Amino acid sequence: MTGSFLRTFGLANFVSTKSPTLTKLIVPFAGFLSEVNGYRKLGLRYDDLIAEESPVVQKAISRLEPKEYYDRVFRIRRAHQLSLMHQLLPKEERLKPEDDIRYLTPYILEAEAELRERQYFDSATVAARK
Amino acid sequence: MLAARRASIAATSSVASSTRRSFASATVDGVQLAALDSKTQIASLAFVVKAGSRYAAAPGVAHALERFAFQNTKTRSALRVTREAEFLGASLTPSLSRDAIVLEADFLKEDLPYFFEVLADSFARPHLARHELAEVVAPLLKFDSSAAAADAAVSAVEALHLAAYRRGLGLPLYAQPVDSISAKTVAEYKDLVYTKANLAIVGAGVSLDQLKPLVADFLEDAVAGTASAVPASSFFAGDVRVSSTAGSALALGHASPYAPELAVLAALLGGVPSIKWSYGSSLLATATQGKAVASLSNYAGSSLFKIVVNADSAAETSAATKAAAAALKSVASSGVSSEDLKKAIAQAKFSAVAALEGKPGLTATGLSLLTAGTIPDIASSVSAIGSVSADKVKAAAEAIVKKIAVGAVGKVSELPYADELF
Repeated sequence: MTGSFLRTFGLANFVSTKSPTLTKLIVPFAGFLSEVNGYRKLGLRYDDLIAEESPVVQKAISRLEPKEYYDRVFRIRRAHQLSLMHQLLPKEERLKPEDDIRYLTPYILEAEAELRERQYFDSATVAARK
Repeated sequence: MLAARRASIAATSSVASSTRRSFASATVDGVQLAALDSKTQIASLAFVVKAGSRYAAAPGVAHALERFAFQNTKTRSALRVTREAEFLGASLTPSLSRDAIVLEADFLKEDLPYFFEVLADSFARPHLARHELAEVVAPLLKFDSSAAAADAAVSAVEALHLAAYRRGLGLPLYAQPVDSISAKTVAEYKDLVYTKANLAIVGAGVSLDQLKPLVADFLEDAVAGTASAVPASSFFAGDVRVSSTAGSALALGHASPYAPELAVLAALLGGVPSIKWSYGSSLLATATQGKAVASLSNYAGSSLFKIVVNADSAAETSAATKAAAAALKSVASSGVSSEDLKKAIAQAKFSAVAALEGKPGLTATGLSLLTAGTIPDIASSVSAIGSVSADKVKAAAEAIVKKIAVGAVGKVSELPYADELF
């Protein structure tokens, strides 16, 4: 696992809620980047791109609603197929920015918070009561 | 000599009874409180909730809600509760009966506010997340129901409840593999039953004045709700037979409203030795060599008198059942000797007090507050048992022999039917 999801999302949260200047600067650029990145043209959501080879993400995926999990697998398989065929989805079937929902992120943050708490308690030291 | 000694004991015990301290009770913000302060270092606190399996809106949901106790809440995670209870030194035990779900904590007195909050969180602010059900709670439910199914005597008692009550008290205590339990049904049941009107908080080693402010602090946002109505229980002479490889056991039972002579009859038939390495001298002990045990289960509105027979093989269980039925029939036909009656009354008094004092007393007191609205009166229940006559016991046995329900588990083809026994 590289980095911490909690820290990354904490930073994003800071930018979007605490700093209007940074928000004004970054948000249009982020929208442009997501478009250029092209994953929406394959019908994927941003959360489909998160590397799933980590215990935290695995746990998060296992906690998805059955329907959400099915849809995720469908999107990924469709994207694989399109990639093999060197094609993009027809324009009307591409993912719209408003449909790019962060469906996995809340589960990842919850799973990582649990992991952090366990690590904290496993290395906690007991001080005498005052 | 013995008479003189008993007289002197009686004199001191009457002094003791006049100064006996009992639970003090109060109602704060719609929550019933009872507390019995003492000089001990350890305090026990029980949240008794009228939410046992007889109230289950969907099958098995009460068991699931009980197993959600001390899991994640909006204040603390399950891991934090466990580790902090270890750091402070305490034990947290949820339990489930047909009448109630009980969340109990034993802790050092100075930690009362912390553990009150832990219990209140579990009661008023549980998360009941879908993934918790799948990862933590569902395996526990499966474990509990398989452990119960692996014990023939427990399964026979479950089968007897089903045969005697069908619904309500007849619902299985534990979630069955066929039950479909989802986080949604558990949350709905929680909203229905985890209300202030269904809650009694009973403490031992704490005073009422310590508990009162804590209710305002930690239970303010709990739903007031209405108290669950106790479903009426009617008795059916049913026969439930379950094939099982767990062993062979058979339970005979008769349900009726509580009467002191039933407690005396259960003690008279007995079967539970008072001393280790002996069968005792009760009627069932001598007739079946400890293979049959009579007992009385008291529920709100109904008492189930039962005889549970459990032996190594189906043939032995069958023979012991016939012997136990013969013992019950002999009480019904020829009554009981005054010597046996005296012994049975003493044993019944002891069992009645033991159920109301100490640890089991917390739950019993809470249930009494929830169903009758009062603290159980130990003195009057003991004196009622003391005045039971031999005729009353005979009449109770006659009523039982006339109508009886059976739960049989194991090699059911070899186990007897009720009409072959009576």
